[in-house]
Amino acid sequence: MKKIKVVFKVILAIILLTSYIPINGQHQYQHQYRYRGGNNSTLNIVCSFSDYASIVRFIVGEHGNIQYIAHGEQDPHFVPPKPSYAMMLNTADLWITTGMDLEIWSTTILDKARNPKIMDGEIGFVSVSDGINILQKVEKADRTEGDIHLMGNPHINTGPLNWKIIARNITTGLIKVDPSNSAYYESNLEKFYDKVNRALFGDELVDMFSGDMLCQLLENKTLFTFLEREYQGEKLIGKLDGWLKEALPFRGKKVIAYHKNWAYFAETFGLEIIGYIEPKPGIPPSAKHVQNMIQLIKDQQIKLMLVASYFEKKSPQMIEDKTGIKALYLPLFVEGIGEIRDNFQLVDYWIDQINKNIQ
Amino acid sequence: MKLKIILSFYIIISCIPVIPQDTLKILPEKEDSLQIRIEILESELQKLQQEFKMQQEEDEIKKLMEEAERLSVQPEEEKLDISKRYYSGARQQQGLNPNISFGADFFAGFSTSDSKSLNEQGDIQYGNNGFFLREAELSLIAPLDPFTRGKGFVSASGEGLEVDEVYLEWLNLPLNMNLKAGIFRPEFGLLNRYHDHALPQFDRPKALVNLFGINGICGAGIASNIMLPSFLLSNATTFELSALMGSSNQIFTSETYGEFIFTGQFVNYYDLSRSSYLEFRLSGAGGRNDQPEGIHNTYVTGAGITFKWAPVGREKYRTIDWKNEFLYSFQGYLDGYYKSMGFYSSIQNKLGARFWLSGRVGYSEIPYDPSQYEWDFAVCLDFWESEFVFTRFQYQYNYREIEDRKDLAGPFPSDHSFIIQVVWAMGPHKHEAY
Repeated sequence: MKKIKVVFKVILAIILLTSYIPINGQHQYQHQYRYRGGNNSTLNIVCSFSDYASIVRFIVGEHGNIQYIAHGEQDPHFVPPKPSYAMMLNTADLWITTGMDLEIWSTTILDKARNPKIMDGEIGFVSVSDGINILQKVEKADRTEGDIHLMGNPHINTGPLNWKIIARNITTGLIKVDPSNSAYYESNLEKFYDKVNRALFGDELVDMFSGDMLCQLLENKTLFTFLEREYQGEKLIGKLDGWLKEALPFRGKKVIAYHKNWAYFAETFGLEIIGYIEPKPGIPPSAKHVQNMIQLIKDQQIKLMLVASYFEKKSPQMIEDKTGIKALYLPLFVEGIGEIRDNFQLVDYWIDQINKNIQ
Repeated sequence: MKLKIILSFYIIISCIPVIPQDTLKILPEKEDSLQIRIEILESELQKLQQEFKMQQEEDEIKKLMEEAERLSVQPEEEKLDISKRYYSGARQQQGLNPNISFGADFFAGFSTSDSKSLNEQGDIQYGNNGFFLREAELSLIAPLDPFTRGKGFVSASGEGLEVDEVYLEWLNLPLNMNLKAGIFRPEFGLLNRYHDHALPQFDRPKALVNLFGINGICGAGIASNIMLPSFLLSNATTFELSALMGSSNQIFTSETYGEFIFTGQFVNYYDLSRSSYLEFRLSGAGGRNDQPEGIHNTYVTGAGITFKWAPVGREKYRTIDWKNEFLYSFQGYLDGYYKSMGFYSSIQNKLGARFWLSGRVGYSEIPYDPSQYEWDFAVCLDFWESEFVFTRFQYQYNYREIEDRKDLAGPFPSDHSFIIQVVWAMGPHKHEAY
């Protein structure tokens, strides 16, 4: 027994000593866009996701030091609320989050951050979903529907139309904490709107009809009716450019998805998602459900399955093997893969990959 | 004569051109002028044509814009609906209710030991033969006002109704401090904050049970948790101090009014990579215990290390969580202190979206008689059918070198146990671990 005691004492001593040993490289994994020429007045901005950080970068320009919590390849529902995130939020001037019930994990770190400025309702708290037309609002709020989002589908980042509202909310937040630069932020917001419009519709249509009008038409699902009208003897659809033109090959095509991540993307670009690998949100697929999906794919002759890259690959692979469908694994967020540095590159990538893989 | 006439005619004729020549000289100028006028007229015509074309285009775009506006605006029909009912919000205040959850922890136990002193529910070790509801817990969580959060956990078991925790917490106080008041589990070691249903294995390690009982340290008091500046290159550092009253523990047994248990814990947290972290904890607790010859001081110190690996993007399917804690206690008596030690090492391995495999090895000396000790070895498989329901299968072997305990009647043989545990929760509450 004496030997055991000696061993325990040695191990105890080692633990005590190692708690004081610094570990190299421990700060290298903070996710951030840093403005390196900043000054004392630089805002400290923390976002829940990289997509919001990317939009903040467009608006805040040189006036902000931007960090985000969930990595681009991480499941947004399950982010461990680590103490280092609470430290990150402790000095934040602005906390930018979806504002729905996607980041339930964030309440724990907010309560531990000791930063009253960024609590719900305070000057430094921004809910980017405010004003967005939320899809898939809950009709039946109980757990028979799985791990439901009570406020509707929170994956708003996948819809480019939503970005303009997200940017507007971010700009509002920035002006609240830094009113002296409001003209600068508003000017950048206008530039961002224009960039989104031109990315969606191309230059010619935007110059003719204005981006706001086109966005309204798209949101009302009347854009393509309108584009059938003639101008100078040619249909307006001939003038369509940008993502909507690139996405024409898969407009109206049926696909299946793993989870309800792609609702806003599908709404904008006309994909029809007719089934999900998850039987209910957050519930792993059972063998029986997988069999049902296989039958659905065969009956409907579905050619493509969209899977956010953080999901398991076993079920999609099994479905691929049994049906010949193509499982397309896509990053859900900016920096989900290395070369995607902003939202525009992300949608470029999604459309390009869908076009390459849909038959 | 004829010649004269011809000559004079010739002369006249030859002179005639002089006048017309002057006249012809003017004609090209007129031609130029006409040309210029024609050009001007042509240009004006072109301009008019262009303007007309532009006007046409503008009209066309205007028409299209009008159509676009018509298509983009869908005015809602406003009709008087006399069947409409109106409600007041004055009686509809449910939105202000707290988040309410109700959970249950049920198990079946089979053991080679049938000693009542070991098996009785709520004692050192849970009943090993039979079906038991370990607890049914009601939890209420809500912000109280902009500055405080309130939490309440009340559980019912075979022993009756019990308050697990009821406290409020003031957030964002000066000095980066949060302050807690009420009945709560203070920060001490790795598992003291855990409620039973959230433990990595069915039961708490023997090293903790022999010191603090099956419920851990819990009592009424106050606690202050301070976020410290980054210490020794850590990514987060916290320190908590608490003072509370409680007598249900094994080692802090004083029931004298005014006797407190004091706890303190220092935590240094390091992100090793995006997917892994290391956390060091130094914990201490001090209190009083009743002995036949009087009340004496008791101290417990602990050191813990947690390593967790959850690969980014795969957390839902792969995680390894390794917790280790060493404890050393000094229990006062008439002639000095009994010194005892204990430790446990617990590892959880997530095999997929639904399965966890975990194991634990632990050692514990009896605090008032370090010559007696016990080892516990446990292995378990958890099946999570969703985030709110799981079933656990646990095998456990307890090796005991215990002849006599003053808190229990013997004998105390080694035993094998098999436990099937089912835990479920209704409502929004989830155990928040990182």
